[in-house]
Amino acid sequence: MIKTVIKENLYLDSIFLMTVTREMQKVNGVREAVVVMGTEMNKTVLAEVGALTPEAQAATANSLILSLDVVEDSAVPEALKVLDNLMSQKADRQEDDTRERSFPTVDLAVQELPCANLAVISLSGEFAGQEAMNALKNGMSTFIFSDNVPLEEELELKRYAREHNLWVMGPGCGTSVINGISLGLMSKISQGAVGIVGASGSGIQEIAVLVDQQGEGVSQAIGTGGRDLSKEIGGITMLQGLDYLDADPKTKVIVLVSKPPHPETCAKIYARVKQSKKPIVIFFLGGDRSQIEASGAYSAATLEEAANIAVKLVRGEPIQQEDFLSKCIAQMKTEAMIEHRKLNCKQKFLRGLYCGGTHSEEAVLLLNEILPDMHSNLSFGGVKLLKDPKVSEQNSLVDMGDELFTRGRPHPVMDPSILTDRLWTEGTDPEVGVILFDLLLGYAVHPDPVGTIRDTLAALRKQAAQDGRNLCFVASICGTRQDPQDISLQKQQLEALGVHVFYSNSKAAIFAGIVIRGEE
Amino acid sequence: MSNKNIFTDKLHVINIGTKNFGEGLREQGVKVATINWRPPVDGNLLRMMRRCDEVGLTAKIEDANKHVLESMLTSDPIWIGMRPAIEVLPGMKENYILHSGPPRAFSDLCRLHHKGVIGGVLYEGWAASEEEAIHLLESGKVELHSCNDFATVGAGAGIVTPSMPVNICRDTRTGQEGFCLPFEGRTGLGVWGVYNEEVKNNLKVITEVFSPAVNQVLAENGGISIKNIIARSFQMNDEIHTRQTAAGLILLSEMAPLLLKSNLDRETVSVCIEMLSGSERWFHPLGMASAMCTLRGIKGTEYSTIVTAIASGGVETGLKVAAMGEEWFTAPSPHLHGKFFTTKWGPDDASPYCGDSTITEVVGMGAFAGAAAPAVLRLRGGTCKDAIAQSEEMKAICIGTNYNYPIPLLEFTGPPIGIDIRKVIETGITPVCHGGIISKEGGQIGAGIARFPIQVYIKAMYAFLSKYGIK
Repeated sequence: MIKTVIKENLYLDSIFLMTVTREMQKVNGVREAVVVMGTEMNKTVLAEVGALTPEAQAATANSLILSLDVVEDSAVPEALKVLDNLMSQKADRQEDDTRERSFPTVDLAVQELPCANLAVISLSGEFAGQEAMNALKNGMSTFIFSDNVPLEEELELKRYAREHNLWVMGPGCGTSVINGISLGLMSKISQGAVGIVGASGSGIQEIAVLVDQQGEGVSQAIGTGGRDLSKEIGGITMLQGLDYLDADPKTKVIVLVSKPPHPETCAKIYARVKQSKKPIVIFFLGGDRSQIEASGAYSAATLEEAANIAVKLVRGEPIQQEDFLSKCIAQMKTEAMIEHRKLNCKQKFLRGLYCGGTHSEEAVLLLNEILPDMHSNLSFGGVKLLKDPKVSEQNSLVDMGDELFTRGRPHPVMDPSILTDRLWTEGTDPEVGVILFDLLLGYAVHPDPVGTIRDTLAALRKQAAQDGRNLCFVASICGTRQDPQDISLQKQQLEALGVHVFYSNSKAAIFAGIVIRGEE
Repeated sequence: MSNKNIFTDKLHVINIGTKNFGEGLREQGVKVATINWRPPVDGNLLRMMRRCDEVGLTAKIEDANKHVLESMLTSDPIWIGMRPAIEVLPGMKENYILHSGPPRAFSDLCRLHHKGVIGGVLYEGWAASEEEAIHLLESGKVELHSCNDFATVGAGAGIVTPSMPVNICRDTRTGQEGFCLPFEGRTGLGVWGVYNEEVKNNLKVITEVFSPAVNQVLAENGGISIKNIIARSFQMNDEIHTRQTAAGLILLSEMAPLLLKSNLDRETVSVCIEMLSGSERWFHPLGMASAMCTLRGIKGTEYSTIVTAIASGGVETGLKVAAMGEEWFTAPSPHLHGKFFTTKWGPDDASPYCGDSTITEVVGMGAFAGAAAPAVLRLRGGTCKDAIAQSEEMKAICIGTNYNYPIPLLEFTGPPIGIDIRKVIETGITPVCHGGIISKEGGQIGAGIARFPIQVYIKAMYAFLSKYGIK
């Protein structure tokens, strides 16, 4: 039935009334609603829908006509409430001045924000280069997380940046720190005197974190991207970084971290290192350490040692060159043997599942010195290649950041839940005695990395107990107290699950190795 | 562009890609702007476009576009009169009926046009019945043409027959003229494709009383400046496409004294004032005709990549580009999203975009001036911020801003003007246009917004590059 309500001398604009109409339509028992001012034109609208009642016909242009087709009378007051509510409503949305601005293109953003000085780019590789060049041409430096940018594009970008006194961190750059601000998947690091230039994301992070944990800090950490030290790129960004840190008054010590550079690039780096006014610590993972020493730099055996030497240099403490591996084994042997003895005679193998790329490479190199038949999906340092990265053999360490695992999923540094299925497979293998893994904290990383695997670890421990085995979990976590996740809270959670936790990636790997190996 | 130093200056970041990285920086107190990035629409086309630099075409395009922008900004449209279409439309013939959108055969017309052109034949008295009218149209004795090809803006259905009066706007700077049918009211033949006794009688009054009177008054007084009215109305919540409440009232206030001091009899003056005050939308055709005369001044400008027409016919939407003259580039018409006047109507009743009123967007009004008219944005539940954002987004595809029309919410800067097809392709952002939602059966049933398809811009860009030798 049609009910007409007239509100005299109430003017509401037609656009507002369309909202009223729509909302009234949602009231239970209302079949149709037409809400209009009583103009002649609007009366023709009412007539078309058969709602021009005598009351509506009599309404003036200054009156509001509410025409309701209702199932029963009681719907009318409910519908009128909608009008009252909408009329008394304050501004549609809360003003949100903290809302950051967004733009359709870089050019427009730069026009509006001339102070913008850094573009952070994480588009797919085929598009990242074009946008990076666009940013450079607008006078901005770039941090390029994206992988798979064509090599020739990288060269063009880096040459342009070098000529224009700009920076291209990346492509494939995961971490940097600029004046205490962490970029990418990076921990919060105190500011200090150690300058880092690195082609390795988790390498930069671990060194910076361990420097921070010892009470020192980082001046700048410049990520170069994984291919900067290739023959083609020739270390453009690393050389730029060395020049900058060498001249930077805040930097007292410089640390370089990478996989071994191409020999031609390596020569350029060493030539520049020789001219440096400041002490330099170099960790070229698996590289020739005598060459490093010949360039006048300090050579580190592991990421941790690189951090330790840098801290000592900042503090002016003496550096003793010692064998890092045997020293660590000596330190951890007693505790490791206790774990070793809990394993049954079938539990012969170690399985490592890694999030951080450099972490996995460092760990696999160290384990290869401790354990026989070390396998991995990394073709690195003489380790045996797994036939199928999805299936472990004997002692195995798998870099879970392999594209094979990450296709269509976030990288395990951002979300370690990618580890859970594989953890279960390895942990329920009766021949496995030790499970080794790493977790990384920081900005843009999962807010609770331990939380993503907690249930799996607990279930594995229960399953192992049912099967009459003891499973030894060993983890390294890389982060600081200032991180959004707070490393001490993450550590507590892991320890509550009976995990042996280390803040040093190398120590975790060595400990895990000797738990499996037992006495020499 | 000066190069900025990330080590000595405070970091100010533009984040392109994963939101997490921007969030991480914000947590550290860094200012982060986000790019709403989208993948390029046609990689091959973009590669061809980059070659423009190498062959020196870019400089010519930039020069041409600069000239075109200047021409659009300094154009000075005056409403000079109302005359029957046959007398004033360039190329109009006695057996022509025009319609909105790109040209289309009678057999391919949308329902609205189909009804409209039959109504047109009947109105001209060329046939006594619908069957006869259809026969005439099928035989080709009555020819159908696109309004835009005749310097005319076909609002809605855009049915223009030879005897119908049209508004004439002239750009005093170039002498170019643009034409548009008057707004008949909530129903009517020209705009809404409806023909019945009421429409017939209304058209008779417009033709025999209103338009001769208005024509006389405009001639006696040198016409009425359109730019002036639009400039004022932009500060009063109008955007001159969906809303011209203020412009309509200003027009009435300018016309009333002219009518009263003329030698027209009291009854005629009364009819005119009633017409003008009966609907504030009387100004709508003047906004459109003025846009047309402005755009005719840039049509055919060699090397210019600026859009001169967006016109839709319910089936297809068409695009014209300055350097490409009168060549049409077409794709299916988009649907409008918005609100319906009553709950009786819904999306199924609505025709895809039909009408050339998007010419207002082509000259930087309508949706491009959304910031001037937050009330229109409320149609979609939008806020003032959304209105601003809409104008800001359109800046990405335009070559300038229109200083003639400062908008309060844009800090008194003007709306974007001059759609560059290169920018549309580079950004993947296509024009948004306001518009009336028209029923498939004719008549307006709501108002809303549509985003126009990228395909026409791709086609036009390929044709442009081909014309200037880039293969």
